[in-house]
Amino acid sequence: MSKTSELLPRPVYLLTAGALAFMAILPLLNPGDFIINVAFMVCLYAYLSLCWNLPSGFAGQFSLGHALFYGLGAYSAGLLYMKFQLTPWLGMILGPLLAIGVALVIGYATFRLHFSYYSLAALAVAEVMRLVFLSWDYVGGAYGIWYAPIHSYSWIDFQFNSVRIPYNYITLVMLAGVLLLTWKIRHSDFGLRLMAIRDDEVGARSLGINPLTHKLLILAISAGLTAAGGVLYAQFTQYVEPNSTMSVWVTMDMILPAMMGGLGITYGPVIGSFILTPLSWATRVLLGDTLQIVLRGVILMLIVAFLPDGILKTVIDKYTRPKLIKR
Amino acid sequence: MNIINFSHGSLMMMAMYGSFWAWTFFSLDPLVSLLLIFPVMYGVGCLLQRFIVGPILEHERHSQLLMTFGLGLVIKNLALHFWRSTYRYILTPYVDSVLRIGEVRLEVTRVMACVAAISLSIVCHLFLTRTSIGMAIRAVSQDRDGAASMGIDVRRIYGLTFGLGIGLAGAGGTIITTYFPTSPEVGDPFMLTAFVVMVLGGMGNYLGAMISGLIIGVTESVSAYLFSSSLRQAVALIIFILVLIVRPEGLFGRALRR
Repeated sequence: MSKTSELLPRPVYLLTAGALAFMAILPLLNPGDFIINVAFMVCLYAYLSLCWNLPSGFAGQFSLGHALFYGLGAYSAGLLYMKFQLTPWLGMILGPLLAIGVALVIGYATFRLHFSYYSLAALAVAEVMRLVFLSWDYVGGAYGIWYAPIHSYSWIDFQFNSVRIPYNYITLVMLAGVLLLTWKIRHSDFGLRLMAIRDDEVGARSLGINPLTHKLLILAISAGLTAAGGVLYAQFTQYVEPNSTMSVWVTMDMILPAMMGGLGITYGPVIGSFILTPLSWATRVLLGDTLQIVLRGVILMLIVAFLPDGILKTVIDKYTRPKLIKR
Repeated sequence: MNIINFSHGSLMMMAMYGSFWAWTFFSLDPLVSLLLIFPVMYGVGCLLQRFIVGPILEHERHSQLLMTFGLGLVIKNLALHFWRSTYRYILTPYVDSVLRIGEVRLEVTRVMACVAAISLSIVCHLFLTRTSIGMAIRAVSQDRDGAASMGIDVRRIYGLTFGLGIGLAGAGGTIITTYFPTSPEVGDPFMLTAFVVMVLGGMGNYLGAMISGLIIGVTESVSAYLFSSSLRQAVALIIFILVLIVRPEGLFGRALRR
């Protein structure tokens, strides 16, 4: 039962390993700033999408406001650094803690109800927080926070002068870490209990599983990791503002790779992000911001309508006996 | 119907634009174009149900959620692309008129919107409780299979309900254009407030929705006055979360089956 992913066809492992190896080698080839940026974003959104996939894919709790945790992470690191001269490494701890606190409050309020309550509440909190941050002068309002490194080029400040490449490797390591974590969760009793809750909450309760604590735990893990991604993003761009960290389209960027790769599939979000993130950057350059969100919305609708199981799951079902993979 | 439509705000925004264009090109007063926009939005709702939401009803439970979420984003950003984020106003002759009742002054447009909203709610309530179609809608929402076995055409009822929901959102949007500026992003705050009101009142509870609408409305206005207008939704949201923690079934709802 817990060995389901061994039924994955070998190409899926190879593809994922190949993609990660490619990202490890790419920065060494000196391909120029734009490619390095896109490579960073590919890894970052693969990472974020994996985080989003944890509560959504395993516990059936769809967050439409995950950008909130991301934004909280980015802002706490930025504020601690610029207002109190505290190292972003501290932000790396405090940001996730803050996000976990917020996530637990929202989760505790909504997880006992129909699953769409959580989706809507998360969306509502994220949107309202964005509006509050936009007009809150202390955090820079709509201008946001510009980073001016206090000691230039120092590991303590999480700054590597103008060199961008270390960030790519940090993200890659974080991506590999969360991939391993997802794999571990999927193959643990905890993961099995989560999937039982997702598939039949009443049945899971009758077996003595407490859905509320399980959902809260997986959401807390996800929110904390998402906030850590936000901290990383803030260090990379050295600029934080509400619209690029808390908007609905940031959440959209987390949802799409997971939906495309296949919901609840360990490797799904990685493969999804490798396909979608470069596409999204190309269209952003070609079409401008609003039209590329339209495009992503259309892609999401098409996936939901025609490939509800994602690319990877469709492929897997083709290569294996369907009844073993059916969720 | 247990479908939460995340594109509701965007569809309401479309209706507001409809009302705005009707005023600009044909000098149709919003109260007149209401008669036109309601059926059009009803048709839009039926089409959405027929071609976009209907086909995925049998899919996994999250499909409708992501589908309507995507649809809302598409509509909103298409509007942003074509019409930019300019605020558009309708300047009716009575826009500045004020109604005096003793010391109290009320803007005519807001009084009109209030009266229209209350009468629409009453009509809708009567429709749901007094007509056979209304009762069929409630039957389907309570027990789909049971309703089907009683000879109710469930698919037709789904289309009708969806159309009605969108039509009413459109009507609401049209009414408020008399005093509220139209822009592509206008819908979302309304959708979020509507959600808060609905949950506070208890899902499907009509009177509860009216009372909690009043509570949220007053809370938002008072906190906008006390703190700042950007914080008013945050205050409403905090109340909402507190209520959910203490009483998840809403203020007036009956205890939920857990």
